[in-house]
Amino acid sequence: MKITAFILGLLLMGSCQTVKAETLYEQLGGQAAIELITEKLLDRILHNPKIEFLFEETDREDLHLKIVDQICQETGGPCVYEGLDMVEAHSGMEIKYSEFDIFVEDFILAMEDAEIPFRLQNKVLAIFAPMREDVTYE
Amino acid sequence: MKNKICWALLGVVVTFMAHAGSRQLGTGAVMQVEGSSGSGIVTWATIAGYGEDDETDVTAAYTYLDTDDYRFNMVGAAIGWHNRVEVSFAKQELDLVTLGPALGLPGASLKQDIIGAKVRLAGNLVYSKMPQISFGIQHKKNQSFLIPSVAGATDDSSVDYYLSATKLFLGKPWGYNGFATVTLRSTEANELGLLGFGGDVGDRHLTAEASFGLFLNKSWAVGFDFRQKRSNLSFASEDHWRDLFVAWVPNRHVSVVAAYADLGTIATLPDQKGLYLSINGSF
Repeated sequence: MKITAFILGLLLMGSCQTVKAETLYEQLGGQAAIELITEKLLDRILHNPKIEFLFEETDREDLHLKIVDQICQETGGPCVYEGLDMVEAHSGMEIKYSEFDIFVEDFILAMEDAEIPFRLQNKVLAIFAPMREDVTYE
Repeated sequence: MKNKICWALLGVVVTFMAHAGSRQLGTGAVMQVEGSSGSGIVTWATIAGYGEDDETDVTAAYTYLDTDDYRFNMVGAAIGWHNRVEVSFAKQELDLVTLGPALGLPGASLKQDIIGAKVRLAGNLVYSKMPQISFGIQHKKNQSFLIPSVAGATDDSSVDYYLSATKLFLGKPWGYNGFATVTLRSTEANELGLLGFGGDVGDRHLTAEASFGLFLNKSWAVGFDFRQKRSNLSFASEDHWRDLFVAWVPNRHVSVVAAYADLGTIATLPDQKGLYLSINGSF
């Protein structure tokens, strides 16, 4: 009986310790943080003389929604990105590697603006880095 | 007033010149001891500077290492073309602080000039799943061959060939950005070539180099270098080299590396350890 109780206790300890791993979405600070990162990102890319021409035809509110949904979905949040895939969304824009780099740099600065810690920034970048070939035309 | 205008003009010129490429901070690595892009003593697969495939960067560096018995310095320059090809030039000098006077040659130094070329064959340091892979050569010409020839070196010039793989791991480990390099080199050089090439106990060897580290934040990295050495001269058998380094990259124009290097026995003098300092500028 004592042994059964002991084993039961161990099992309970085990299950109590298995806290569900926090998603990157939660670590970032959820929807509010992603909204903030996206606002800061748009403030930068839409006014960066090196890449602003890429967004001449873009509606800010529409882009905001798409970026938020995409970050939210890819970091494990509850959203569903319903825009075009990355190849379709950028086809015909002939985006260069150097322009992609400038976008990435603005994205990093936007995360800094939003006070996202360095180690979380890198985890976010790791998710989006493989999209380079889909976004650029080279 | 005239002075102010002068300074203002200079500022404009410098700002105009200072158009570095667009790759992310730190991805140009630094100039290693033979003038190629890499870390302290290891050649990496990286292309010098921050240029993408429509950009060209120029990098210059000065490196100094003091082990008490030896003082080493290197000045070098490299052009990174379109993140594809790198061409580098380096002048090395090793002051024989202890050996010179002992040989009756006070003030003696060993000198070498190196012309390097590297081509990125495949992959991308940051964005591809595979590592960035490059092939390179370093054509080395000893400019002080008297001492090496007396020591038994057979040639005053030679070419090193190397194949290198370098990868940056975003968010790994522990959320930091890790980096790793493995390089295989074919070389005839004695102590990089400062003691000439070939000798009485060997000629061409295959050697391995490796470098590992972490970016602790955007501008600071720490790492470890290892470079295997093989011996051609029975009089001056070589030890493997290693160092621990800290790199500071405040922006795309400047980087500073400080390292503690352990070079073992060099030309009969044991325990050559000391501080390594390197300053790089990119435009």
